[in-house]
Amino acid sequence: MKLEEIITKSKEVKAPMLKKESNSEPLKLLTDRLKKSDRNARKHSRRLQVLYIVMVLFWIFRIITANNYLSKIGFGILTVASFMVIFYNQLHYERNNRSYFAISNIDFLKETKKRLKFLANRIWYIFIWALFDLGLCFVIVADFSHRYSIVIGPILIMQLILAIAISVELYFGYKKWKKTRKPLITEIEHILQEIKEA
Amino acid sequence: MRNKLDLKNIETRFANIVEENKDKIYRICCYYVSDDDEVKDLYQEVLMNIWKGLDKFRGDSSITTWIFRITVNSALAFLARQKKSKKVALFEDIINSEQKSRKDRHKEINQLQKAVSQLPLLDMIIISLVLEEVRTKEITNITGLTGGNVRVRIHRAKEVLRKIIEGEKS
Repeated sequence: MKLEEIITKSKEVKAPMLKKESNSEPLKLLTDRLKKSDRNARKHSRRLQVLYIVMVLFWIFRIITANNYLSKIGFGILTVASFMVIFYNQLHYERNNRSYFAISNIDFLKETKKRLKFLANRIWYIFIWALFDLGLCFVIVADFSHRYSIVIGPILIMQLILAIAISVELYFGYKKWKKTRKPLITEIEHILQEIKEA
Repeated sequence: MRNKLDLKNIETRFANIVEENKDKIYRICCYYVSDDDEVKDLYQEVLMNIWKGLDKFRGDSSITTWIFRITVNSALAFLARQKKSKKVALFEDIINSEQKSRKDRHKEINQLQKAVSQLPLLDMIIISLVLEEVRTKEITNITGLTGGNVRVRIHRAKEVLRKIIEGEKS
């Protein structure tokens, strides 16, 4: 069979029909489901934000009522960390909803390359994690200010555990990234280079 | 934020777009993945992305250019992920009586997909649009490549496809 014949025949392939679960029009059913999935994503994001707003209010209340500067600094850092979660969550939500799929394929590849970078999201997580940790350390130290020797050991052990956890995550994350994402970045770079030269 | 009137307009526009372009979108999806379930997942994702972006479409390009951009970019993102997502399936095969003939028709598109998948990614993008009779000028708008570059690639990719398909037959 010639290429042209195959192309002509392939045109007979039609899109599948929607599952008939109700008496509604198939397209109405589809838009209803899309709206629902949109709504669920928005709900999930908003729930998380409300939770962190409540936390921010609680930290602010503790800043006002705390009777020493170490606690105030600690709760201040926790407030900043919670704000960062809200901000990151908002960015993430907008990024998922922004139609960056409508840009040209070349721009899309450039954007994808940026998103695939190893530290793209991790830098946020690590920074927020470190801030929560620092804030908690300040609060604990302030609460035990008269008996440092009791808490200093557990705090240091906790830091060690956290450092090991972050290192392990980074190590395995990097290994996975190198195997799955890096080849894609290389391929995208190759394509972009090819286009540049053409 | 979409208000009720906007939502109604968007729904109508979306319905029109899907009705007019669904087969083309589906066939383009077929060129990027071979597995039937994956094709359906990808098709579903394309529709999702069209839905998400519809209220931001301002008519800077033609609606078909916009749709094909979303289709190809969604396919690229799908290929990049390379994993099956556990989504609720929206689609099912056309009823049993049509099943056999549908499978037969799929032979051709499977054959094309197999050949297209052997092309470099950029040629794959271009040829998937050529196969759906998208004009060269529109392909330049969709891909962001120059007209000359697109023409050269079309010619080259078609030759490779011919060799693969007609070579296979002989």
